[in-house]
Amino acid sequence: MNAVLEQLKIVKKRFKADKLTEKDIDLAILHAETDLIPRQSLLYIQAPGTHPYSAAIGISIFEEGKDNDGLDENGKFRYKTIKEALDDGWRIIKFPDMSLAMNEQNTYGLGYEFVLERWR
Amino acid sequence: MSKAPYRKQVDCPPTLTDQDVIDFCRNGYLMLPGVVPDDINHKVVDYLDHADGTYEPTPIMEQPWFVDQVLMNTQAAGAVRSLLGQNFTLPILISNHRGPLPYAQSHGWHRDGGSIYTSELEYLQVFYYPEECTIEMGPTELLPGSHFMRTKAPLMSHMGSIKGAVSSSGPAGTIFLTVYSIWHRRSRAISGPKGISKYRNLLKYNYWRTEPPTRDWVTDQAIDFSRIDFNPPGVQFEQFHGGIAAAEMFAWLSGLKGQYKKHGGQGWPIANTVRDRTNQFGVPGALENG
Repeated sequence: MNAVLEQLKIVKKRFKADKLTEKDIDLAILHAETDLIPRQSLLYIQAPGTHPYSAAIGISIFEEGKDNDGLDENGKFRYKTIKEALDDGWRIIKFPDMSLAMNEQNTYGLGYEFVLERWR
Repeated sequence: MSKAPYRKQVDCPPTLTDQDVIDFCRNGYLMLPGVVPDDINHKVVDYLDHADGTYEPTPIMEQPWFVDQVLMNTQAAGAVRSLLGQNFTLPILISNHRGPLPYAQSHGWHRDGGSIYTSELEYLQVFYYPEECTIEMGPTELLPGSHFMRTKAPLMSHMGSIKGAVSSSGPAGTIFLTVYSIWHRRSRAISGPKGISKYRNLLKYNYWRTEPPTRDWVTDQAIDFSRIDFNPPGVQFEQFHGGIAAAEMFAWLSGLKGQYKKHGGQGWPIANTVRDRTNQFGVPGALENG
């Protein structure tokens, strides 16, 4: 339940019982202020190349209420490409680190990793 | 003196063919579903539930039935013998990844501590499910080919779903062999226990090589090594680089390290569409078509 709503219900109950205090009201204000603070969500997409519209070969999402594995209800990637994520309001905040790819004979990590964010 | 044959050198007939060994080099793992008989699986679960429920039930190796039917299981030990050669050793430790059921969150992707990246297969990491482990019970997931993907475990902790990852789910008695450095994780367990144990038991142990590598598994005289696709499945590698790494491992296992040289270009093993038993440039001499 929404923290503000929950606290307002407590305020009302305590008001009816004639037990309302200033502290109860302050807590409701604090919850309301906290809810106004935007939260950053993060999306990691690993791709087979550096093209910003590449297909995803790996995905993880760090957003309240979402599964970290980045899968939808059918068990599929939420975004099949970076382009799909951009179209859904995500923006790239880090492009792949190319330094390890300069070692031409060895493979480092999982593809080329883009980090995206959105605020909610 | 312990009754357990810790680090004992053993031998048995090899069971893997050339193609099986190549596939192991490509994938970094080999599944052997349901190879341990049910009566032994029951004994193991009983032991883990009543005699030793710790993270390291190594003394289970004091039980002759465990050594004979699990560690020296004909198919599992035959595969180990194929990859590690004659006189390989039995384990010195047995771990049990004994997970509660259900378990809401998957574990993070990781390679096990002590991993190095090398074509030299000096040891194998082997896993064993004594009870059925369904998809819902949180089996280990493996990423084929990732034994050639350099990284460190802490750099993988933000990773989630990966295309091409495979589940090790299988019936009771399933054993799977892996290259130690393969990427893996425990998947989430959405079901409660379905067997006797309240837990998902997964034993893990290593065998070690004692002899230099040589191609003494079940060889196929007709195989054309210039026509073999060595590429791991998946798209994690720059074109051909996974296959080059797998071929290097196969050459080492065949005892041909001195004959293998990475030439680049269309050198072995990437030109695998050659015709009429033409040898690719750079194929080790002992693997050439006569």
